[in-house]
Amino acid sequence: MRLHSLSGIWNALGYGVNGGSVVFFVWMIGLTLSDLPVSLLFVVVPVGFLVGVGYGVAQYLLFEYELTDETFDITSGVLNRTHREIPYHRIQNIDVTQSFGKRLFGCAVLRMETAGGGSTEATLDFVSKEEAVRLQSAVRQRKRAAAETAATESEQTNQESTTEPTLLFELRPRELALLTVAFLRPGALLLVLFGIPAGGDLATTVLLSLARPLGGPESLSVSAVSPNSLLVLVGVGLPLVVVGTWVVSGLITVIEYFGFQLGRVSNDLVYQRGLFRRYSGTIPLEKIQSLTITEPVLARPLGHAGLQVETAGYAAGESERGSQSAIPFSSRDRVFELARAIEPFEQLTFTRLPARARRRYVVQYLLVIGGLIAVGYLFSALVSEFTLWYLPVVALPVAPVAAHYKWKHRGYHVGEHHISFRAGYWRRKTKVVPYYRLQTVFTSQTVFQRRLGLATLTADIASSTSLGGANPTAYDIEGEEANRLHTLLCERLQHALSSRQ
Amino acid sequence: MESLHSNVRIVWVITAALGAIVLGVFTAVVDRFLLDVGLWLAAVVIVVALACGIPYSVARYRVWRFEIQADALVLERGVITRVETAVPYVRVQHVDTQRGPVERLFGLASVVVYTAGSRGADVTIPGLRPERASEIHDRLRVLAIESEDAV
Repeated sequence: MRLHSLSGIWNALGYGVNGGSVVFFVWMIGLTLSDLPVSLLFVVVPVGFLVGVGYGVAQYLLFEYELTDETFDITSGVLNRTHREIPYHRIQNIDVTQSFGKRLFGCAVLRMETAGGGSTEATLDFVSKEEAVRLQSAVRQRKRAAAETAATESEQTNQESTTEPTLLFELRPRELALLTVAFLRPGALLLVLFGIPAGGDLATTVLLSLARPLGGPESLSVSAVSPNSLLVLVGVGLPLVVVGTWVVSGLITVIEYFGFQLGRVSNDLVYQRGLFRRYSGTIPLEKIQSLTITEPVLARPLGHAGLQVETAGYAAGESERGSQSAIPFSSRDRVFELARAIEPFEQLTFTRLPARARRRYVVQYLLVIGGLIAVGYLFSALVSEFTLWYLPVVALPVAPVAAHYKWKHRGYHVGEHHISFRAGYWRRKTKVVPYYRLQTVFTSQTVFQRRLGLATLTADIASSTSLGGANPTAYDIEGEEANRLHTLLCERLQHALSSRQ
Repeated sequence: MESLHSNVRIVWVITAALGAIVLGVFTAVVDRFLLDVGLWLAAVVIVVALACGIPYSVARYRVWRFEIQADALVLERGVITRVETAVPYVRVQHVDTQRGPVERLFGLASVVVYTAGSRGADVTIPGLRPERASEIHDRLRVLAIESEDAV
């Protein structure tokens, strides 16, 4: 099978433009070095374009894929021919992405992920929407058939089981609205910060006129800004940035999660989402490594939460690798109901950390504030106009409160078949890990933890989210308890594996 | 629990010394172009780095322990942050034996165990005699295959 014919045209044009422009630039550089005739540009650039088009067409014609009984085969490449066979049972996720432009032509990009490596195993860029859906369900069926023949070789497989997904969850407009408010993306801050210079005069005028009554500078020129007035400017600017971040983050959330639907086809979860760019994907239930329930601070009084599932593969279009939203936002009850349908875990009753841990956090915060004051003092000694070096002192009364809340929201629960970890005040994350998914177990103690008899326990799993995401980690728990859990987790893993046989 | 070969201290001290020299050269370069304090600064940096690095290497050797238990490879290490790791044999993806230039000089080798995990995807046991390293390598391979059969 070939890709969509429009893909060939698009590809050919893309390479054509590339080829033409490369020749153009090389010729221009050549002109500065020697006296090549300028008029020849009108000959060489079209030649470059045609070579590019030829390459693009060749690439299109030489890219073929095929569904065999056991593998998904792709043969590609113009100069270096590659033949790739992906066994169905190795495929983790199948994602279909429709960008706004491709949607107009009824086309989509299909990606297949396996557990290995950080990159996508197969990309079909692009096929018709119908073909994408056909492939998605065909691969799913063959995967199931492969699994069934592996499990019971004698039994007849009935492939005609449901191919239409049963709807599990649909994001209601109210939930989407709440999500935009409650879920603040830190990434939006960067967009706002880079957007302010682009906003130009309007942004600076608004900022200066708001800051002036409070002692802000007259203008943004170096002579008018003193360190003190700069601080006022920052004080006024910060809330504006926060509001801006909120709006941007809300917009991104709407674009990303509009029309979210989650369904189930036999052993796979299927989802689709997106306002302009439609994503649809498959999450095989048996590849799920852990569940994460996220409750932002603003969502907790509303009794709302979100649910993410982590697989070992790589997820297309998600900010966190390997983590997909199963429910972006809904009531806690519904979230837990669906989470338990995926992994039946019991009522979570979290063990709090010992009070010593809270004291440790107070000290940590105080050290940070002390450090800021010290840096500020050094700076004020160097720059005489800067006198507000003691400003971080206002954060001192906040430190014990912050430490308390950090402590309060951390905890762990050791269940029959799962271990759960909870952490985070601003965005509380509860991570549920089945014992049979454990990879390695770490217990670590820093010098300070050893003095207090505390330890940190990590139950490592095969998902790629841990950078910046919620680690399956119990921080600052009782040292002896950590030792007990360490052995317990290893035992439970062996036990779970032998009972799953 | 088994400790490492005592030669590993020398390997670590040499590595620390190399690091100290690099740091010293870097300080000298920065001093030459930016600070202009004098070459004694680089000397001080090297001495301080060695004064930290040598006791650290010795302490590191004293703490390092490992054991091949029934179900898992257990490691204990870390001077400032003490880390205890259990790697179940079922989770071992593959095992490597590595020999760096300094290690080779002192007749040592390291065994690296890889898992599919995200954080501790590779675990290294340094400072082993080559015979012991290949012994552990083979043993881990056998244990990994055996435990695979059990599942």
